[in-house]
Amino acid sequence: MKPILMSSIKNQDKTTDTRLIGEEPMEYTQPKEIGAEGEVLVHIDASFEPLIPKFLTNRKNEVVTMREALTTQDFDTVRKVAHGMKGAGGSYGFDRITDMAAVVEQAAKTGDASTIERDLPALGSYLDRIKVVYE
Amino acid sequence: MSTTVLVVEDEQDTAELLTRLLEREGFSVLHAGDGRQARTLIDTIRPPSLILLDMVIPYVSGFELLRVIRRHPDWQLTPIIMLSADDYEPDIQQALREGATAYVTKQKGSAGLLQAVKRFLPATPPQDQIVAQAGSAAPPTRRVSVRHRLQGNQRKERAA
Repeated sequence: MKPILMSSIKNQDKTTDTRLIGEEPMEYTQPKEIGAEGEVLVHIDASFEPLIPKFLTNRKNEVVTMREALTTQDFDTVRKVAHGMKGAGGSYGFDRITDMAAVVEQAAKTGDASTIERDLPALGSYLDRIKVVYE
Repeated sequence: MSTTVLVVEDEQDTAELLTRLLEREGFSVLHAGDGRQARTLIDTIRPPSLILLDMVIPYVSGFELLRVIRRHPDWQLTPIIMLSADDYEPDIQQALREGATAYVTKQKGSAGLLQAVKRFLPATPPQDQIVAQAGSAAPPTRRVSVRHRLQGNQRKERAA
């Protein structure tokens, strides 16, 4: 069977077979609306509603874990946690989480504590402002 | 009997999402939370219809598991969709070179993954896909983690 590559949008030029890359469905639409008091509205398929509260709670806990790891310069833990968050965010359609976690992961790989110190609070703030709209 | 998909994924929220997504489509799901659990399944059950294999998992890497599966006499022809949070081109090429059927980045979201799953699974679920462990009289379950399976076996051994 011929192998199929389904890569991200930015890598489509490297894709060997793009037949499986279709239009992004509504449930994975990027947040484009700002709700009341700085809320960020994220539209998610209603069938995933039971999973979302735990998903967000776990991400917030991971920010705490990374902050604690950073205090001991434990970049390996920061990298691993950020990597997991990057994948989970993408799977659920929280693409902004994925983007922010990717920056933290990359900074952890190079031991760039200042970037992590700058971005973790921003990530935590973003998580606090998410308001999920189920559709 | 429905078609079975083995999900090898250590991130619990992602595993739950994939399980929900696949079960919603009528597939049965087996879950291994790390490489060791996946190895145990490979050694003890008949192959599933499809494997979703995360690249970065504890104990045994996705690449190592890929090689194990491709050398296994019973599992070697099972379609494998590699999952990754990264789109690092050398990893993609290595995965495909070593026998992955497809490579899906998690940034595609679960909808992109589902597209790939439906591409590789047969339209009609095969009747010979038995997910119960060999030698077990228990009927196949829709979702069984390796840990639960092993714990159950240990209880049986103690009772014997």
